[in-house]
Amino acid sequence: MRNFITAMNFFETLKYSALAVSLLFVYNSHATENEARDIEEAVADSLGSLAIQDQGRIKPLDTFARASLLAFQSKSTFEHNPYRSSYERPDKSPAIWWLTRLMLDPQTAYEQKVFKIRTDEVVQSMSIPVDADEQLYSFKELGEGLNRISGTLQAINEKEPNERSRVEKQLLDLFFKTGQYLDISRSLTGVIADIDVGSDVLLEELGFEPGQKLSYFDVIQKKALIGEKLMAWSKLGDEEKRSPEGVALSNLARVLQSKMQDLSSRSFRVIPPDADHRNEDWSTPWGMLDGHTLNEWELSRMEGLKEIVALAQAGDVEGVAQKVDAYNAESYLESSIGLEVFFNKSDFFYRSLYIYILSCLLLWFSFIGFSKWLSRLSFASLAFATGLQAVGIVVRCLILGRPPVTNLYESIIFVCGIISLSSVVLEIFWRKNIAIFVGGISGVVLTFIGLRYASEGDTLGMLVAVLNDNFWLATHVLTITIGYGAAFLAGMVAHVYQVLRCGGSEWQKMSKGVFSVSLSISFVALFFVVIGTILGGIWADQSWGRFWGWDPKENGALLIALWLLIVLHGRLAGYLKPLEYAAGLGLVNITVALAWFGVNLLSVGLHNYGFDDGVATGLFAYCGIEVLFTGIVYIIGKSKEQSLKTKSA
Amino acid sequence: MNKLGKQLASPKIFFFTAIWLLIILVKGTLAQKDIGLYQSQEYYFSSWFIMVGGLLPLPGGRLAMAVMFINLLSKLLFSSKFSVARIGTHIAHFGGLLLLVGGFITAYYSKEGSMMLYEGDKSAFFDDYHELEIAIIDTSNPAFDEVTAFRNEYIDTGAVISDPSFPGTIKVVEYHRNADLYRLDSAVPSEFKGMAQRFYVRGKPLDSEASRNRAAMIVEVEGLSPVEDGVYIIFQHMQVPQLLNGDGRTFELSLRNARYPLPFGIELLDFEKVMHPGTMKAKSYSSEVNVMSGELKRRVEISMNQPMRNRGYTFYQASFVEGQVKEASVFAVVKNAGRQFPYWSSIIMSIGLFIHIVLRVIKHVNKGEKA
Repeated sequence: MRNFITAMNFFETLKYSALAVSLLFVYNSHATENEARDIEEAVADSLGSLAIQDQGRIKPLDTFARASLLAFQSKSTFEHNPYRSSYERPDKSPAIWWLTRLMLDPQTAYEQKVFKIRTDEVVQSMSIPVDADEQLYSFKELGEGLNRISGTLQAINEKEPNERSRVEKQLLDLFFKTGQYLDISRSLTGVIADIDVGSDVLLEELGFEPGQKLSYFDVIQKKALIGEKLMAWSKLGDEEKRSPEGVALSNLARVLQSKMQDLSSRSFRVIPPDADHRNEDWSTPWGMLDGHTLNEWELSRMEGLKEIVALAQAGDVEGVAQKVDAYNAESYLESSIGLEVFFNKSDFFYRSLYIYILSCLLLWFSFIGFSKWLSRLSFASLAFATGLQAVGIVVRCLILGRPPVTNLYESIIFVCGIISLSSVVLEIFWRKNIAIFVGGISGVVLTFIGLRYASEGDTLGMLVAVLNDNFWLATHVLTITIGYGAAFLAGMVAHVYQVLRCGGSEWQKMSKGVFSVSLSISFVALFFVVIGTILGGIWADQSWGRFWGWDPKENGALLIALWLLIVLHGRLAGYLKPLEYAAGLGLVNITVALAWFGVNLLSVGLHNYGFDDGVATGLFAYCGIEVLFTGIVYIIGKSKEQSLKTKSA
Repeated sequence: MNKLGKQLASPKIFFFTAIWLLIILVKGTLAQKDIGLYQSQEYYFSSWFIMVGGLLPLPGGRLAMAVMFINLLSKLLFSSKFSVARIGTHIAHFGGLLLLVGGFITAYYSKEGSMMLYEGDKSAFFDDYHELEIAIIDTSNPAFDEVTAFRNEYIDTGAVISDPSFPGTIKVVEYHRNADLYRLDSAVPSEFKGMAQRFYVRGKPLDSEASRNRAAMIVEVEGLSPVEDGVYIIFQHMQVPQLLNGDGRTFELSLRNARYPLPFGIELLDFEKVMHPGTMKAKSYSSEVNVMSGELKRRVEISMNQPMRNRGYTFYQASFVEGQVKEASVFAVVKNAGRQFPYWSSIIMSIGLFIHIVLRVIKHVNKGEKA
């Protein structure tokens, strides 16, 4: 999708979007003639299983719809579940309904408010009234707005990227997005039967049924015959040209001409190559209509697609479902498509967030009363959330056929899963509710952060060459991410210890065990971080020929390892007493955060995956809060220790 | 001796050294944003001392690691009581020691560079990434070229090259590790020869991307003949070699990346790049090469994450150049005597830490039962 943007010549796009706006008005009348087609939601649902090739991967249309809608809505917000956002209201309809309408009934879809623009200046610079409540705008509004400032856009495009202001960058981005939106909306115009020839005689001469509506695809099959007829027609006298058949013929030619504008539509790759060329690029429906003679396979695909579209327009839910399945099956797909649709609908991570929250609340109430039952329920919900998360991670692995962690998003949900799993195990052996507390909190926080990253598009992306290696993904990446999780867990338990040391005698008594547990976890963390870091070096040695290059990501991992080593040896050397040790161990969370998210802010080196502005603010805020919390709890604990000492003395 | 050893083995030494290393680590990582990876590595991590403001020497990364090494070694030799309860930590520390040893061997006895080959081309040498050499190539024998190369202290202002392989002397008047070339507008005195007749060089700060630095030298050549003697400019990646005549022979003078011979040849047969369908994202790169020693040829495929190892040298698929007609493949070539160490170290450390954790858990469980 993004490639389409970069590949597309700027001025071509400019022309294209100008055309779009003019088309809006030309086709408007057309749309009313055709009557508003209210497409059944169920039809969209069945269409969601259609296979499409996008960003190097074969995926269900459902995923494509979600990722596309996310791109238009907003890049990194988390105000509603990004996987459910819709054209009408957030939180209501799934993305596939929006996509179906966009392709089958573009006129209506163009007026839906889909584009999220959070910067009002951007909207004002296009002379569009600001939508203060929702900051949502329709394609039609934006198309007109952008057309008004086409000169400005051209000037922005000619500037060096780093000289563009924030608003200018957003304007340009918006411009490409609307181009892409238009592109998607024209994907199926070649197979939708909406051409009314208006003359049964002509229809019959061309070999169609009387009264039949035709698609561009139908008509273009007869292009030789139509060509002959047009040639003959042009030689006729004026009077004869105006016969009903003559008028119909010339109208048909005009309609064909205007339809051909959509030829460049290229994001909708649903035509698979035949069995002998399975790994090659898929084609778009319009790619089949560029004038080359279709072979048997291509014809069968186009016919199939035409039928699906016709059934969808007729609202035949069963028919669409059957036809889509048949279409996929005939295309020799190894089917993880169904699994992915299931994965999308199940929304494992989003649901687990609620259950983590539930677990925290139950634990909280258990302090007030009914403590035994409530804390058991809390434990059960933590275990359930962990299970959901685990199933989600496993399903993702099955869909992609690779280990669970390959990008930042996946590392977050994986670390979250590891921490909650460890908490569940820890709680089984050490029933103090402390592990439930730590697991619940980390579950909420990490799932929340993870969903924020999910809003950047399809999270099931393909990998660049150097990462595309299952062995190392399964060894180095998993070890180091488990290390992140364990270090985080150790830090959290250390914080709990710190807090306990601030309390009364009951808490003080309990704290001894907690200290010992945090010490043990810190050894586990050290184990995974050190081994993970060295394995990373060995991977680097295998692929680039150097074991260690002081690359930021490597340094980040080393930072955690060094910090843990310093704290452990400080204790051995007698510098760090339990309270200081716990404070130090608590701060390991900062090193984890820096190694995990911080190094991406540097944008040097080979390891960087994904970054945006909000991350920096969030990261610094987190570090600040960590330091503040650790410091304050330490001071209180220390003074408590002093007062206890004086008392006993 | 034993007492000193015990003092050297103190965890206090490690505690403070590690804190210092942590500080350097953070500073050096942040510095990469401005000065780039290579420079930061040289300045903070591979140095014995970091000179702050050119005056105040602070311990560098290498010194910190050397202290850690002595600390660890003393611990293993003098301080450790070999009890069963602590066997895990001993093993883990030994693993750490190995890692440091490997690091030092790599730092001092490894060669890394690159080799770029067009499809169909052959080569039996590779270029160092950073180190430079002045090469004097005697081309007078049609059967072979005789190359004499000068490295290290010769790559500096004031260096003088006087060698039996060359009839004259070469004096480095000016050396810049990174420089720009400017065209001269006015005429210059007759002692300026070659490129120096039309160009002059001006040094500039190092680029944050080390490979973009282009070194240049102004050299004075004496003792050949009045026609040949004079001032020359040579620089990295010069398109036309600077020729010098003397003693009836012709020499090529060049400033280039240090070039290391290989005990075998490599011929690139084919380079292939596979994209994820419908995208510009590469799925894999691979090169098919012949490894030639004498008359023997062996066909090998080198691809991302699948290097080729031969006689102590390892070839990695590093990059490529796309051309109109032919493609070129770029290999990273490494000879590293220390490359086995991390492998052993990681195995030993995992075993050690694992034992330690298991012993701790057992202790916990026993304690729990008693309580």
